[in-house]
Amino acid sequence: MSSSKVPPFDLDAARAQLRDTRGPRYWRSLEELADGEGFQAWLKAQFPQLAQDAPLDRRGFLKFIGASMALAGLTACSHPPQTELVPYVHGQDEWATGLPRYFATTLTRNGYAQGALVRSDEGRPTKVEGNPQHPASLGATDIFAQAAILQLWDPDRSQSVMRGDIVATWEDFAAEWLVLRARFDRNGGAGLRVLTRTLTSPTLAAQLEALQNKYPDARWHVHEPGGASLSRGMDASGLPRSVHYRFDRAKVILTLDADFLSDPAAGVRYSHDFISGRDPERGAMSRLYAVEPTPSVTGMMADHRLPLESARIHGFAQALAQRLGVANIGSTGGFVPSSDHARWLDAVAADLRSTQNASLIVAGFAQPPEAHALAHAMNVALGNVGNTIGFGAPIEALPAQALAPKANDDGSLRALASAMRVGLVDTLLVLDGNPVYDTSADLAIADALKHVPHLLHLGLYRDETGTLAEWHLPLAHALEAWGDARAFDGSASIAQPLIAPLYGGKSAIELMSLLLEGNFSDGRALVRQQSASQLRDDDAWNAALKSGVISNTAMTVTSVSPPFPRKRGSSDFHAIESNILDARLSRNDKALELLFRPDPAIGAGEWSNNGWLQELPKPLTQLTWDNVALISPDLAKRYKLNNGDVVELRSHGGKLHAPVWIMPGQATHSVTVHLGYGRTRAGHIGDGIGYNANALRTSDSPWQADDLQIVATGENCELATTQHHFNMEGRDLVRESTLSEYLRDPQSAVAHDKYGEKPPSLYPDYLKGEYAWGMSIDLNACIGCKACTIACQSENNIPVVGKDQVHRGREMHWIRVDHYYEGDAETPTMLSQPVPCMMCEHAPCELVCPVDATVHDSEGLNVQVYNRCVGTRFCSNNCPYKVRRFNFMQYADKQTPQYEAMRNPEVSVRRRGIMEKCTYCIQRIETAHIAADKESRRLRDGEVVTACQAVCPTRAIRFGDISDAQSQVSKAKASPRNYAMLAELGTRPRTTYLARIRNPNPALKDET
Amino acid sequence: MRVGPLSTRNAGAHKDGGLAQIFSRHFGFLFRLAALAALVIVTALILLWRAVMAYPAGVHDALEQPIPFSHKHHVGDDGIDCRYCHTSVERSAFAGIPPLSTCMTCHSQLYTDQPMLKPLIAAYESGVPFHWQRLHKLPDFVYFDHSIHIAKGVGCETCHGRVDEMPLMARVAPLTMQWCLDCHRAPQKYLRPHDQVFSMGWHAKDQLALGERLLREYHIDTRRLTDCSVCHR
Amino acid sequence: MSAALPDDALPPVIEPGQNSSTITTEISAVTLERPTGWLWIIGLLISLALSGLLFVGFCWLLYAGVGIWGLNIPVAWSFAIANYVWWIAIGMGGTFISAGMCLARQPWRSSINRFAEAMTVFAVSVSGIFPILHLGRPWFFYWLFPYPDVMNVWPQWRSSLEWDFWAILAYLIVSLAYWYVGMLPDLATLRDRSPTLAKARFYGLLALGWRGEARHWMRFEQFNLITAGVAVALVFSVHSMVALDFSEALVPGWHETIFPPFFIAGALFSGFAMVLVLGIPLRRFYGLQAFLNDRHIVNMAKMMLCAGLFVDYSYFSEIFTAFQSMDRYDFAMTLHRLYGAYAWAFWGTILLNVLNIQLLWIPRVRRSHAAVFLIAIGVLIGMWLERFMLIVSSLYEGFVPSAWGMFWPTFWDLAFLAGSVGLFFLMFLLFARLLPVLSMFELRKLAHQGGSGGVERGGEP
Repeated sequence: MSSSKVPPFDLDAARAQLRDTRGPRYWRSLEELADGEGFQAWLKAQFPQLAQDAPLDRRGFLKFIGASMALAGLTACSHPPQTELVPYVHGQDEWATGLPRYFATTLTRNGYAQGALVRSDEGRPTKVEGNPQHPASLGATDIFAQAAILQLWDPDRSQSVMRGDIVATWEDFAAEWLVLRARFDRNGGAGLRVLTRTLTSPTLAAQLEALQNKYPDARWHVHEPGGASLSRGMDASGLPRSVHYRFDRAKVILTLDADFLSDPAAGVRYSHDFISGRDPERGAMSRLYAVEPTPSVTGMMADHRLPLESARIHGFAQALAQRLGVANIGSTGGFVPSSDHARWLDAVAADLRSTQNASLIVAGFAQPPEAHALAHAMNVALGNVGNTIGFGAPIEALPAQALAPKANDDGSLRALASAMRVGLVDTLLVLDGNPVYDTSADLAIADALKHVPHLLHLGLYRDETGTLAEWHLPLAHALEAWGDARAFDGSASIAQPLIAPLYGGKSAIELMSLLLEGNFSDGRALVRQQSASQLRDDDAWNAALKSGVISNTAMTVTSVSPPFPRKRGSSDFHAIESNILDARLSRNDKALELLFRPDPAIGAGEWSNNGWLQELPKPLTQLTWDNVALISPDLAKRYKLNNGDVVELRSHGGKLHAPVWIMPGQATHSVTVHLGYGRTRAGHIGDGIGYNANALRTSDSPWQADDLQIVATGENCELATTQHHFNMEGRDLVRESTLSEYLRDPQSAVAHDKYGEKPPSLYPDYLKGEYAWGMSIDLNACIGCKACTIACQSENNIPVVGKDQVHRGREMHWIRVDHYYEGDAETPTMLSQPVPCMMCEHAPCELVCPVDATVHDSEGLNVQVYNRCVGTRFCSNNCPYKVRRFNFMQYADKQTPQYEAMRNPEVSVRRRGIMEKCTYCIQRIETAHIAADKESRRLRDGEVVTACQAVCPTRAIRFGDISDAQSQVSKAKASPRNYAMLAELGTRPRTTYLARIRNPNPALKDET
Repeated sequence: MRVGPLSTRNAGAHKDGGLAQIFSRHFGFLFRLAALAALVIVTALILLWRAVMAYPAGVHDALEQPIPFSHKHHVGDDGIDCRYCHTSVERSAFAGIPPLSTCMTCHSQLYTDQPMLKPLIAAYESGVPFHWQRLHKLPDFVYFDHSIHIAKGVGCETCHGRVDEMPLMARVAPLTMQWCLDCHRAPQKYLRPHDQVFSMGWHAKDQLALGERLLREYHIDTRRLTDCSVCHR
Repeated sequence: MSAALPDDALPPVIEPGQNSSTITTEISAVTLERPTGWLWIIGLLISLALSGLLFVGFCWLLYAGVGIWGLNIPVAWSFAIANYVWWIAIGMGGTFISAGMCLARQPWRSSINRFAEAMTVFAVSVSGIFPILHLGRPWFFYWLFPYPDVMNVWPQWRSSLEWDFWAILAYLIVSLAYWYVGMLPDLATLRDRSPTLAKARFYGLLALGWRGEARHWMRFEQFNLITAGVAVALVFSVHSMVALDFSEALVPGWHETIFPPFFIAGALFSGFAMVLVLGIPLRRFYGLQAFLNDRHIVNMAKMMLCAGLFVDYSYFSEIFTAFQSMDRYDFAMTLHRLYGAYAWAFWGTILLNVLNIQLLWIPRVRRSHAAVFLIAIGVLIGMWLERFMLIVSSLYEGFVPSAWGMFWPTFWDLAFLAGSVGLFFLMFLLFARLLPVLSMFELRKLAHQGGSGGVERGGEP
């Protein structure tokens, strides 16, 4: 009841002081919201729940003796405090206080636009939803868009302009800039450099162009730590093109190490397209072959998956091209297909040829240009170009040198680094980036920067780069500022602010306006002016804001001018370096390759300080709060390694200590490490966890190293995973069948369910109400991206508990995504299954609760009444699905006002000692209910959308009234694939599953 | 004192002497008295505890407000409709506290020189609002929605009492779960026709008959009115 | 069953030559004149320290939450519940001896029923702590009590935890009353024999003005008989209740109809063990050889063996059922229990509760107090292990493999266990020092009837 009254252990006074000085500015925006209470909370530490096991010193001891006495005696005796009501001074516009409002805006990932609808409660952004009208979203989002809310409210965000270590103001900086500017005006901008990440923003691109026109000698460089999107391509002359895939049209898909389902630019859309091409009910399903070194979400969905070292994939492509009769594919140096491979190759080749112009071959961003070229050549040969794949003008804005390299400057970070070393760089402006952390070790950016007199850093956090900067400038969050960006298909959209900058940050375009005009202009004006050509009048402008996308801005897709990247200056494909390793790999067994990948949960480091993402179990490994080195079972056997054993990775003279994780389906000689960890200046959450894999990276081969050696250190480190057992133990929790089987006998998938969904029961049925809520989860559509988990976390105020607590098995996620492996460890079948509350009609949890805290309501919901719960935890013991979560400690942070402001006001914040679980988003049901009841009408199907359902890119989750035969969910449950998990227990779950259907190639049958 | 080995057996023989030497004559009586007292004290403590747990501002106590705003004057005498100030009561969970600009629609002209309005004028000009003392506060885990109650014909008066007779606003309802359930179990006892929802002092001729009729008219699904999920999330 | 055993050589219940006066003198001397022994003081200090640890843990628990224990999902119950079941079970044995055998007119029980009943009261009080402390919000435990509140909500009577609440409460009240009232005559004796006025007042207060009038005795006998009857019923009902806490659930390993009798057997088993663990040293240090002799030890040992065999049968039948039913989940659970991560708990239980007690078949072992003492200790440990095994190894690998997890005790788990032992012995040591450890008036009665016990030998085990 009152543990929030108790001061936490780690009272970080220094930070608090610093904050306090800038408190008021932040508070003015919040003061209007509610009671002024919690202002003192300013001084409280950030994450008490992460400091639970603080050592018990004498003072701590006295503190808790006192506190617990208070608890023992007085907890029940504290009457509600007298609160106050604060009126607005001026009347609001049309909307009523207390009602949420939604705004269409644009978030970006790796520079590409992701359309979003953001809920605003009393002026506070609290939840991100996808924008149905946006091509990259279609109503869904990825995990990062969901986590943007937490990022916005992150108390660790940079909160003021800093000159070195001194707090300064924007005015100070503006003055400083005028001095610099005077010099650039004289020398044409010599020594002025701008470093950005991938960007598609028309406004910013135009400003950078203007800058280059104004200062001919100024240079712009681009550095993208997160890896390129599949939609970036090149044409014959090496000029950039955009590539457009139609996964929905393709009948046979082959990915060469291309994880298109989690593509940064269009993963959400690709997922949707891919799944819409795999509907067993229609009898037509595409077939996916995946060749990849390390298991990915895409590989998990593949009908056939071939683990193959990254370096050998080019060789594999050559062998395949040969079979497809592609001309001059270059010397097939290394790759000698084994009999298995040959069998695979023949089968795939045959399958590809069998479909008329409706296959698709995709190569991943980590593959060399040659592999891309081969993939393209094969697409051409198969007649896919113009059908399943097309090309258009580039979407990313690129510096001039990138298109026409001058004086070995290709606009890359590498070029910038060498320029810095020779003292060519006088002023470097970093627009939202952290090169000091996220670049290859060999560039040694940190000491290259020593040669740069003026480093200006604009960023959300005062990170590794920001702390080195002469001037650190707080960047306004995407939800705080005006901006624009383009989607994977070129569609431009506008980003509008949901709230005034919490810490007085400014956006990149506002800063650029200062650079160009010498004073800040309003972001809105800049964007408006930029889009003037498309949005002539206010109506068009407002329409674009409302819909969240500027109409008719998508690229025209052509099949002409196919991209043919060449090896530097050559005219034909060549056997490339990778073939050397390729050859070595096929010759001896000792050679190893090291693969670098952005972390699936926290990217390349830009999300390190995000608790939601840190605690999100990473696909397949279910690890949280850490990065590991993924090794194959073979390798583990060879080096006698177990999960968590620390090894030393040696490559390019670099050394790194990393815990290993045995990854079924990992290519034997590939070791995968993830970026984004080992941060030193990320914030409270992201600092000092994991290791920094960049230490082994080289700029000329950023995604793989071919000289890896590993040495066991004998140390072992604790890894926090949310799932310890990946074997289904023969229990038919996830059910699957093959397409041919399914078409022959639709019952095949669930036939072995001898109990049926409703075994007889002695208990009476629950009281029937006007509606009967139920959920259906299509395992054939679930790609295991875990967006549902994090959307639920955001919607339902689910706390972050920290690594230690996760390690103890106390994570709080209401909907988890289970993974299971089947078959041998080398090439396992991988399954994923989202598990929310089953809302059992005969709920085992209910009859064991002594205080009636978990009960059924008349519409069939198994509700958990937090305020009645005393925490016996018997309900959790008795839950066969183990979907209940318990607040073993005070997890919800009641001290940090930012988090208070971030929370969904429609959902109770649970205190310590209370059981909680999925509620089918009851707040959404009630809101819709009230809306309908006010009009005395029935709720329409689809009027209630749960958070997990809304976010799902593949529409795998359907929710609604199962008493209405016409509802989406009823139709889904009518499918022959429908089954209930553990139905034999007689729990009668309201949440049921649709069995997964695979579409294996008969020619490879015995292999799967 | 040393008593013979068979003391207890024949304690009867010299019991009075035996006990009297240890305890005074009235001890037995005092002992019983003490026991009784203990009982009383424990009961008192329990009652005290219940009292402490009670709502800060009791039912019918008016609170000191920055401006002695009189509903009696505005509603009773001037006959201003509830919705003039509590604008969102029909659309939102929150009835809405009028922005100062609403007050100023009249008070920029009327009683501008009244000392009691000084805080209003000051706040309006400075843009820093004063704080009202809140009377109706439900716990965070209770999700009450004004709009649905209005839509289903629950009068303002039913919960807030005769505000048109309150010079200073006071709470008339205990706002306990028991109190909510009283209506949720039998809404017909309180339902009003839509046109009487905002009126004060209205009485039906035959409330029950009317209530039963309105239950049907308003399509009130009484089955779920007592579901936990209706108020708690 | 004991017919074949050469126990006829056992000494009578009371050593010959004891008469009412010697009985009274010797036993009351224990509390009134005997100087406080240093062993007692050391014991007291140790139990005080442990109780202090329990208190610190209690505060820390209220401050930080049950998260200080190793609990998690799926293992949401562990030490606290194991301790609870363990202690309340120990209490059972005491009641059975004092009440059950009183109704069965077993003369030899007169020497042990007093401290056995005391043990019951203390064990039940200790056990009562845990169900409350293990709540997420302990300060709301009273919500299990049906009182008219402003929420208009009541407890849920389908839940065995609710019945449990009543079971503990009833059991605590009855055993407390039975124990205390049973002491009144002896308190009066002590009062009358007190060397100093202070002591006289102390015992005088406790004696509630008992004057041994016929009226008193009559009511006393009535009360004793009735409470004994109720208490015996409770022995069975309460522990069946505790068993239902588990068998009500659908968790494989809990959902078993054999649990109530199984738990009662286990309860008597550990209860007898604790009586022996307390009685043997008591006899030694307070020189009560005259009243607590081989006969008592041997009889108790036999009863422990008997109860133990019941328990062992239940173990067997549990496993048998799993194999016979071949229910997928029950079977898997049994395998995990036998060979899983917590196999040590299972095999430890087998060693201490099955093999260990077989030694008692041997008469020489039965007569060796040291041996019986050690075996009893083993049984107590075994019974705790059994509860731990029962709870944790049923929970940690349930229906859905993805949700499988491990439980590792934290320092505080162990602290609460140790603390509960400390608190129990603290209370018992104070009892042994301040109150009559043996029932004088009953022994006197026995002596009066010519307490060789030979008369009623037939009734003995």
